[in-house]
Amino acid sequence: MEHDEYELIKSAQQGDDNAFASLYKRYFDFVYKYLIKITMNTHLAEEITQEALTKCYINLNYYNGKAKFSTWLITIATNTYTDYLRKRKRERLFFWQKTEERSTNLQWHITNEGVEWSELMEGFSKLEDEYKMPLILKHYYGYSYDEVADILGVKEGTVKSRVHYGNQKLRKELR
Amino acid sequence: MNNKDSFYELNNKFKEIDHVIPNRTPSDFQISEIILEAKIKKQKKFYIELITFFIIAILTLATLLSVSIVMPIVIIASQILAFSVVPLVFIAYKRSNNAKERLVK
Repeated sequence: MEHDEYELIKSAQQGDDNAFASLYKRYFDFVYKYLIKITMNTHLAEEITQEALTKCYINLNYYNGKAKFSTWLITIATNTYTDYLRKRKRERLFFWQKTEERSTNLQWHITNEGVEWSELMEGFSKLEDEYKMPLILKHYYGYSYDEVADILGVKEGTVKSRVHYGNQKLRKELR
Repeated sequence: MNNKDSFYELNNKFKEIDHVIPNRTPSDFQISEIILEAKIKKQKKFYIELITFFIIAILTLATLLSVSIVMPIVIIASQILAFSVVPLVFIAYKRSNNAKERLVK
């Protein structure tokens, strides 16, 4: 961990709001862009990022420095998104959208910027969140199976099987 | 397309997404508003935890008091059980942890 970041975290834990504001600025886009890949929706990603960083402020004293601060934030963001899904499912709100429907938001955004929405992205957007999360964390962010298991709060074997089935499903979609 | 190719393409797409999607970092004013809101939530959470702690403590105390009046033997037996079983559980847990550490090394 960088010395500067360590100092910021320590100050924020002691109640320095300016230090927390600096951390907030530093990590907002990191969390936001992680959540875009999971939710495939910019509005939802922004909403959950704000909620996750609020949770980070409330629970900052529980951060013990064992994992990287970014990893800790990703864990909070993942949990916040999982809670959001659970809540929506429970409430059965009529505006609840399926993953594929949500992905059209991201598709619209990136095709507007001239980036092609490939078959692979289409296939990926159709995957269930439980497969998307380990795939992204393992292959894009480069976390080990052990770390992904800690982030998702499941066993290492579960992560391995989800990555495997996620791969299989993705290949099926591409056929 | 094999696994490696598909991951390579997917990673490239994600890099493009990261590049194309504009940053959304809130302004200083918005951040101070968010921190204020978070502070209120933190205070609320603290009071809820405090109240829950007191309620649980009062209920436990009341239960123990009524049990010790009606059946004091239950209290004595539970204390003996706790003093003998807890160290055993601790030793067993410590042993399994040591074994795991040896495996890792």
